[in-house]
Amino acid sequence: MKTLHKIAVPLLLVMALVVMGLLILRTESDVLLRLQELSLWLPTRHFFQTSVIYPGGVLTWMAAFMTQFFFHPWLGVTLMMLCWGLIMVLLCYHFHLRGPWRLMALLVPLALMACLVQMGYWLYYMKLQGHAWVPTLGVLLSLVLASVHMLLPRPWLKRCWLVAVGVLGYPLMGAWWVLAVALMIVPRHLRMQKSEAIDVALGLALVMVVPPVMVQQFYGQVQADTAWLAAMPSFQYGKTDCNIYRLPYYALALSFLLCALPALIYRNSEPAYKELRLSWFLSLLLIALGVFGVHKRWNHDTNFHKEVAMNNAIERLDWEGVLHTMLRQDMGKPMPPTRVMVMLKNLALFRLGRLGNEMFLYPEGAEQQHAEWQVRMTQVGGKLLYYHYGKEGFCYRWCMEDGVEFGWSVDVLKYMTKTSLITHDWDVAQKYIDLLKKTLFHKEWAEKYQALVRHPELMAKDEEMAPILPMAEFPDRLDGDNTLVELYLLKTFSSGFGAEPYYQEMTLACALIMKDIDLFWPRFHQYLNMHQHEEGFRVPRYYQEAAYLYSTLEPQRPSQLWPGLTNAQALEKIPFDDSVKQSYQRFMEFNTQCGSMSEDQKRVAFQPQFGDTFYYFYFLRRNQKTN
Amino acid sequence: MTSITNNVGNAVHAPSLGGGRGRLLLAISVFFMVACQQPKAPRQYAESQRPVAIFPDYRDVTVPVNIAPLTFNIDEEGTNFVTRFTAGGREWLLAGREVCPSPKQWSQMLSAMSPNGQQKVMVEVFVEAAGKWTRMAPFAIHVSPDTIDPYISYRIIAPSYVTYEDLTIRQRCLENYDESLIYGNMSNSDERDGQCINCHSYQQYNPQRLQFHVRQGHGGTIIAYDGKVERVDMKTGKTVSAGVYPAWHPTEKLIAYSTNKTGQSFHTHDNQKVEVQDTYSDLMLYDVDNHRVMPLEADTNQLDCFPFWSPDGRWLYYCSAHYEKRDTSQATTKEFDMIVNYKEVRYSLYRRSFQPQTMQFGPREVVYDAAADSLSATLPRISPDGRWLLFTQGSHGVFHIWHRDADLWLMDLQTGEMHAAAELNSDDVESYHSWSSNGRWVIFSSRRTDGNFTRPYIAHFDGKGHFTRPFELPQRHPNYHRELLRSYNIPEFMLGPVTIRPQQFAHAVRQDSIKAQAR
Repeated sequence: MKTLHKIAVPLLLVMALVVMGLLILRTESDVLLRLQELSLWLPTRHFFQTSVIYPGGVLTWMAAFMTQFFFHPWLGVTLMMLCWGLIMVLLCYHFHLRGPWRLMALLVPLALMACLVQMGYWLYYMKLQGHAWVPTLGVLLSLVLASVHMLLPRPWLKRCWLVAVGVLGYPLMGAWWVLAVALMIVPRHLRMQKSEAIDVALGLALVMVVPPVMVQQFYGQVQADTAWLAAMPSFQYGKTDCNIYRLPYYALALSFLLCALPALIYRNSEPAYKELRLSWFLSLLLIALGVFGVHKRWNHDTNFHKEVAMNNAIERLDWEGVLHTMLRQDMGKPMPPTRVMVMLKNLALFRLGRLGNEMFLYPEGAEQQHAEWQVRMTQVGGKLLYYHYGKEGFCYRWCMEDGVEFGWSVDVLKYMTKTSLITHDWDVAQKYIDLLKKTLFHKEWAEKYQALVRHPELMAKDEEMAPILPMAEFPDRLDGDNTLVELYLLKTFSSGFGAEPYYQEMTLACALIMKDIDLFWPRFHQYLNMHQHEEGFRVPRYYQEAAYLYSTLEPQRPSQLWPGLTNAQALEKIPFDDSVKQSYQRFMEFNTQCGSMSEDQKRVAFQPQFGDTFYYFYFLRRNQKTN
Repeated sequence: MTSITNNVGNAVHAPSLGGGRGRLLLAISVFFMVACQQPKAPRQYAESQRPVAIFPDYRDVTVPVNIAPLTFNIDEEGTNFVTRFTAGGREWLLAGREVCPSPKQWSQMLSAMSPNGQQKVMVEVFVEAAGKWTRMAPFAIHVSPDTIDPYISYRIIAPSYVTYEDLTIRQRCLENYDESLIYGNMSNSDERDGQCINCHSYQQYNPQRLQFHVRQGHGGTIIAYDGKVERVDMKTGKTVSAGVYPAWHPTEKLIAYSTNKTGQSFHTHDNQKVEVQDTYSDLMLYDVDNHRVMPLEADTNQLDCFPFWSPDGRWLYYCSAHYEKRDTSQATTKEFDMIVNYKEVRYSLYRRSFQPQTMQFGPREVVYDAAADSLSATLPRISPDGRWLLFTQGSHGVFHIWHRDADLWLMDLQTGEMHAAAELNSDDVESYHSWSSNGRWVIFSSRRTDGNFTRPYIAHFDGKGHFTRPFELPQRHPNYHRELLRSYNIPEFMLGPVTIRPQQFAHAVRQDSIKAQAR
């Protein structure tokens, strides 16, 4: 039986780690990849010095270093699982967990896992450097320091170590140092000896005194009343306090207390045979509760994961991948898309030259992002959209704003590089490239863009930049987006005119999406003039549908295509596809049949048959609120 | 014998020792010998007439005798580098791409120059590439016996537009690299209540008499005067805002301010990125002792800004633009109108006499009508001897830090003649500037390095209207400014360090503010 425990328990723990790692990889790979893009670690003195001006700076610096490895999600997850494995070994050692009680050590990794997988939109809003790794490293370092304390042979040495950690741990680890001190002073059994009581008092005194003294003497940039929260993630954004995200951290603290219980009860001895069942039962019960907790805190938001996956696909210029992700059914509960998803899908279609034929073939919607605060498109997808639509000034602006507010990241440095290249701001592009060359995993990227510095002719041949350049060739003007990315893009494009076909089509598509008839006609006219002489030219479906609809809506209005004719007369001259005319007829007939329905009822009734038409979009898609 | 080669290509010989301990000793000995080995200049090399590429570019600059060592990075392709400094017949050799003379070496260089001899340090850079050494064209660092004020202060801020996170006002000793915090906003900021800080200013370079503003959380103006620190709320119903751009009166406990309603809009494409405009701005005077605000005239079509006192305190200089709404319909706001016509907003320089006894200002006088020349002049700063007026000029607007055509101009107030300070200017932005207390040095902001991040530059002034080639603020590590993703804002000279601790300022910020009264 004893041998069985010796083998079965470690095996179970290892298997649990493997399963946890695989689960994270399976569902969060895209998120982890994005996570490292939204982080930055540089091997420079300046970067280190910038980190350590706050308590816990060394820990966050280390955490930022480890975050880089999510560039290969499997590598980052493997490293994290190894750390969690080490944590379990140290927990067993520190708390003298024996027999089945060793399963209790899994509670801490489960809590750490919940800290990681609950992230959701905090991915974009978390200000703590290296936040994904901070809990793991904070726990690991605390256990290492506490284990060294246990290994020291003499009480006076232990006390010296306690004082050293109690004083120096705060600048190194921030609030996590409380855990290290607590692990050193927590009694191993219920009857505390006098010397242990002294250590407890000493440890508590250090915890109480060190932060305010350090803040008063060394940290001029820290608020005294938040000194005990240094290096802890803040789940407050603006005036919104998201307490629920703190649950895994409370669970983490609780799991340490639970790990301490067996030793307190059994005084370091192997549980007696008759107690084995109880220890198995209790351990497995607590683990089941832990698993349930992880499941409850796991962010299963389909749209969030799709947004991230689509974003990553665009970084790879995998436009088909964007569209594939938009339609994927295997990423959780189906739900209407967010505006970011719709915008990214439209961008992909535009880059593939299929916007006019396919824009309404995909789910439409304006689902709010599932977060306790107002998620802005400027933080989620906006910079990417501005960049690809040639609004380089606005892309750069939001990179700078986000870099300042949420910390510099590989992502903003890359976009600042690319926008600076397009606007020929060579020197500052070089500055960002030089910084990216120092990173562990983005040197290759930097080298690629290094070749474009002061070489606009190469940019014109670049797969990514070539289509953007004509979009950026418009007269400069002073403007503002009020953080409303979609609205700004729609308004500026739909009111714009351009001689370049690529740009021009965007003005037409945006006029169509704006449902603005006055803006649509001149751009449709220009579109026809630009393309009608091309061999095999056919007006894309949705431009036809819009023209057909607008002509029939205002039949007596003078045509903008054929001066002297009305829309009704001009309608006969445009070679509309039969399918366009027929679908319109069917739409109107169905509308007559559904005459008594409310608009909400019609929206549902029309969807299966007409959901992919412009007519449906025009009449039944309203209040697509953007953010 | 064991022989290794140091990075200059010279053999270093060390005796061979037997046994494990011997090998350890050998390794330690070799390490120390290599570490202590003086680099040597190559004996054979090719001459290049090409100026060496270094960062920061300290070629042929003039530095004060009490400046911290100039460090630089050699931006040449190569595998080994040796730099030879020569002064007063002595030479110092440094190896490596990063050239960082120690304070001791730097002090030796500056003291090696004979008082009557050439006041310069010659610098030769040798570069080894493909096994061959080349000596790049030597350059000089000229040393002026005119000392510079020992301290400067500045705000460190990312060149962002709306957001901010951690902002600091810092002070830096120019005689070494020591930098310390004067005040940091994070000591009083949290997620709910952010805090912006700006516009630090001193009375006559005195670090015990300063002011800076705190915006949003615990908003107000912090005024420290000879040890007393208070927070003042200067917003009254008679001004468009609290005090913004300050100017301490040189002798009286008075501070002139502009009051501004400021907005910004963004270039869609232009690299100048943002246009900051005042739609309303006036001047006011603040009486430090009596906490009284005295607005000057308030003309909504006249935009007064950036006050500065003459050294005798009898004149208040400032810039002002006349702007009337072009579109007189009610459909547009003045803000929108100004955005559309932003290139037509131009500032000229004015002054008004001041009688400290009566606290009365005289009528305004034109100093320089830049707008008449279709130019915009801002930030008037008078030299301590009262003769020279240094200002920033661009084609339009008030916030020249975002205008790439902005340059520094110098006017002789005795003759009224003026010219561009060509030695100071670059193709990029030159903007905020201030004179040292002896009038021999100016420090100014420039974005010449990369067009986006402001760095402080210092130049010598001969008192006759001529500047020397400016040098970038020296740093302990020469690539520091390349990595820094923040700008220096409002570099100001000080006679010494601010001794009030950041925590004391933080405490003062949290105290109740004193409400200023309008007169």
